[in-house]
Amino acid sequence: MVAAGRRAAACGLLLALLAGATAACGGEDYDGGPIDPGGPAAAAPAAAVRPLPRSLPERIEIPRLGVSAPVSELGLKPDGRIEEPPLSRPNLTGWWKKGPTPGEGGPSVILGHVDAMRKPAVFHRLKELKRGDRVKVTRRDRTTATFAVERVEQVAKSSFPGEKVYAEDIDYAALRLVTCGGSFDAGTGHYRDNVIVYSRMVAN
Amino acid sequence: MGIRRLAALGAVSGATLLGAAAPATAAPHPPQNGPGDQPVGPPRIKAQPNPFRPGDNLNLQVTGCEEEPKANGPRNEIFFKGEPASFDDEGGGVWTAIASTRTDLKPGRAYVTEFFCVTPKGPAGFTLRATVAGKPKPPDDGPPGDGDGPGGPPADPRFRFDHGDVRLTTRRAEPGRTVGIRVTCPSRVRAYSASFSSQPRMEWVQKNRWEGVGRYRTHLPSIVRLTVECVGYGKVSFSTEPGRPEVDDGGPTIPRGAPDTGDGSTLSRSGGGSADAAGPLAASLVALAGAGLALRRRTAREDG
Repeated sequence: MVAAGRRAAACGLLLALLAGATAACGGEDYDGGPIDPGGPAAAAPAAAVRPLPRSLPERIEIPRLGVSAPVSELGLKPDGRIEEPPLSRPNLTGWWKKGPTPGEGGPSVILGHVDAMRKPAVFHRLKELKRGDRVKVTRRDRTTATFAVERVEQVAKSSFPGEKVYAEDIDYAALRLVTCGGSFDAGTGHYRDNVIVYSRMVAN
Repeated sequence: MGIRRLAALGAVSGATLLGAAAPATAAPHPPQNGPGDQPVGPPRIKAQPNPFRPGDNLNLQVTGCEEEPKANGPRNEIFFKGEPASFDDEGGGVWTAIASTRTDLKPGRAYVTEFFCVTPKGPAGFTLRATVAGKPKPPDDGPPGDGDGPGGPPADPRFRFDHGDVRLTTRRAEPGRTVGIRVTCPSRVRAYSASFSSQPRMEWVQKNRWEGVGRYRTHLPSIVRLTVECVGYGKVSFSTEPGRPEVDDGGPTIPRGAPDTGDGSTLSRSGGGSADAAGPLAASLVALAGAGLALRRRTAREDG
C-alpha cells in the first residue's frame, strides 16, 4: 500500500516535470492556427474604406507594439526569392515593390526581421498583435493609411501561402506583415515558420 | 567551333531561309560597353529566331551583365525547365546561349521568361518576350462537355485550357471601360476580377465558345488581375504591372519560397530555437531520473 502511494507520487512528479518541459518547449510556438481571441462574435474591424492611389510607403507604426520604423523597398533576388531588409538595420522594414502600395486596392506586403545582430528586431513582437489592433503606414503623398488587424497566422515556411499573401485578388486595400517565427533550424540558418498578420484599411 | 555554336549557326540559317528570323524584340540597342570593356546600361536580351516554332532552339544574346545571367526567375514560359543551362562569356558584358523552347507553346501567342544577372550596379532583372509563329489554333469543335458541374470530370481529356483559349477584346485596363472576353472551353466558363464593378456573365454562343463582357471600376489599383476559369480544365490569369495598364498573360509576380526574416541570434544565446526546447527538456529528464532513482532506493530499503 505504501509502495503504491509512492508510485502515485512518482507519477505525479513525472507529470509535473513533463508539463514543465512541454511549457518550455512550446513557449515560442503557436499551434499553427489563426489567432482570433474574440472569435466570430467579436466586433469586426470598421468597414473598409475606398482605396487610395499608388504612393510609396515611408514609415510604419504599430502603436500596440511600440513600433515606429522606416520602410524600404524590396525586390527579387537573382534566385527569384524576395529580398529582405539588411540584418545590419534591425529596425528597417521592407515593402514588396512589385505589389500594391499600402492603401492601394489589393494586398501590399511589408517584411521585417524578428531578430538580428543578437537583438530583437522590428517585428519581434508581431505575433502579439490581436484582431482590431491598428497599423499605420505613412506614404510619400503625406497620407496615412490605417489598417485593422484581422488575424495572425503562423505557417511552416514549406507551405508559405505566396499566392494569397502577395497576389490575392481583392477589391479593398489590405496590408500583410510578415516575419519569421517558430523554432530555428541551425542547419539552414533560418527559422522554420513565418508569422503573417492580415489587415485591411479602415481609415485614410 | 563547338557543337553548340554549330547548332546555333544551323538554327539561325534555317530560320533565315524560312523567313522566320525577325530582329530581336527585347533588345533594340547594340551592346553598350564602357571604358575597360565594362558593361554599361541595364541588361538586355535578344533572341533569334523570333518568332519561333515550338521546340526550336533559340540563340540568346545578353548584354550589360557582369556575371552570368540566370533564367531562374518566377516566370519561364518559353524554355524547358533548366534551360538555358548556361551562358558563354563573350567579353565586355556580352553573354550568349542556346536554349530549347517548349514544345507545347501555342501558335500566335507571346511568352515571357525572366532573367537575372549581376550588373556593375548590382543584381538586375530583365525579360525576354518571344512570340510563337503561326496562326492561333482554330476553335475547338470537339465533343461537347458533359462534365458541366464544378469538380466533374473533364469532358474532353485532349483539351488543355491555357491563355491561348482566351481572347480579350482589349489588353488595356482602363477605369470605367469594358473588356470583351471570348473563351474556348468545352465545359462552363467563369471570369472574374476584383477590379470589375460587376462580374461578367459568360454566355454560351456556339459549340465550346463562350463570351462575356466585364466593366472595370472607375478607380483601378496599379495591379489589375483578371482570371478566367474553364470549369474542370483549370484557370488562367492576366494582370497589369504598376505603370503598365496592359494586362499580360499571367498573374502578379509572386516571389519564390518564404521570406527569411531573422538570424536566430536572440535564440542562440539560450541555445537556439531547437536547443531552446532541448535545454529545459534535458534538465527535466535529469531531474526525473534522479527522483526515480531515489524513490526506488527508498522502496528497496523499506521492502527489504
